[in-house]
Amino acid sequence: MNTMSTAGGSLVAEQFEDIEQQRSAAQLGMWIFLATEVLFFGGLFLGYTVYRSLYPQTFAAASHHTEVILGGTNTGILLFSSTLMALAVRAAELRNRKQLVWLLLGTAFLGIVFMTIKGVEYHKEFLEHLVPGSRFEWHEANRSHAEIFFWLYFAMTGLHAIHVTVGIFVLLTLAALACLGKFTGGNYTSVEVTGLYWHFVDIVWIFLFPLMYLAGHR
Amino acid sequence: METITLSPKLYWKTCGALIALLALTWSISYVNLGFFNLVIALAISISKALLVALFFMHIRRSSRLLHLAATAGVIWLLILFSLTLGDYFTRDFLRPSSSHKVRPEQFHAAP
Repeated sequence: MNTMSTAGGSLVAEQFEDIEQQRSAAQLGMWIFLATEVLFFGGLFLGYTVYRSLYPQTFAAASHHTEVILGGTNTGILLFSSTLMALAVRAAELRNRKQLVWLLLGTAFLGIVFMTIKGVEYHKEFLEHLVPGSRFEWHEANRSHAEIFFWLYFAMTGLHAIHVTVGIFVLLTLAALACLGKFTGGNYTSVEVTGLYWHFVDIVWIFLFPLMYLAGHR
Repeated sequence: METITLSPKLYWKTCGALIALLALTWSISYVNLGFFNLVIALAISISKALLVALFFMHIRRSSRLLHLAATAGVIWLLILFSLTLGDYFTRDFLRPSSSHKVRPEQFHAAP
């Protein structure tokens, strides 16, 4: 029965027996969503695998045109942001409001830095005519195969970037709510499942980095 | 309530391991190992993903039900890959003259 409540209202929604059941339902829901996300990205990874196996040399050549220093830095930034996110969940569990707010803001900030660097990369690639379409320019062999690489590059990093953007907005919302003490009263499920989402987005990039930036040796 | 509180030290150690693996995959890409560049890069990526899942996503301490949901995503991904690649990589087997090198155009000819 629902006996836990705070000034801000009940901690446990009506349909749940207790807070533990509510928490495990939220976690299961997020993990099932992440399983669908694995398949969502999986289709693109599959397309990449098929085309890379068909055109290995062109994919290696095209990969050399990506900005490996910016991409590698971004990988480090996402790994670091995941660490802050894990610490944020810990702070929520320990009901440390101040630390939670700062860690959520820090995670969101690193997400914004990631998107800024990604934007710089896209801008460079746009100026170098690497965006597929009528303005695509390729001075090496197999233009259309290189175009397929860049189509996959923009589709996959773009879809990932959309996920990061969504994550940033969710993190900022959570930070605002955390500031009001919403998650330090015993129910931090939202912080926990957002953490799962953020770590998943990190894992996607962990695979994108070597496939996009390091295809073939440099 | 099941507790997940771990010491911050563990998170920072995981972070250090992830950054070290990033440095490793990046530096190995400057050495020409042929096909093994890809094999090593993927092995490192899978290790990094496992570190994130085990320590940041707390898979280690989650219930069986969550293990099932997490594994289901990976298993369905493997089905997606094995059936599709099983098709693409074996099309040449059924052609009359299997001695010729398969031409990529043929992949797109099939409906």
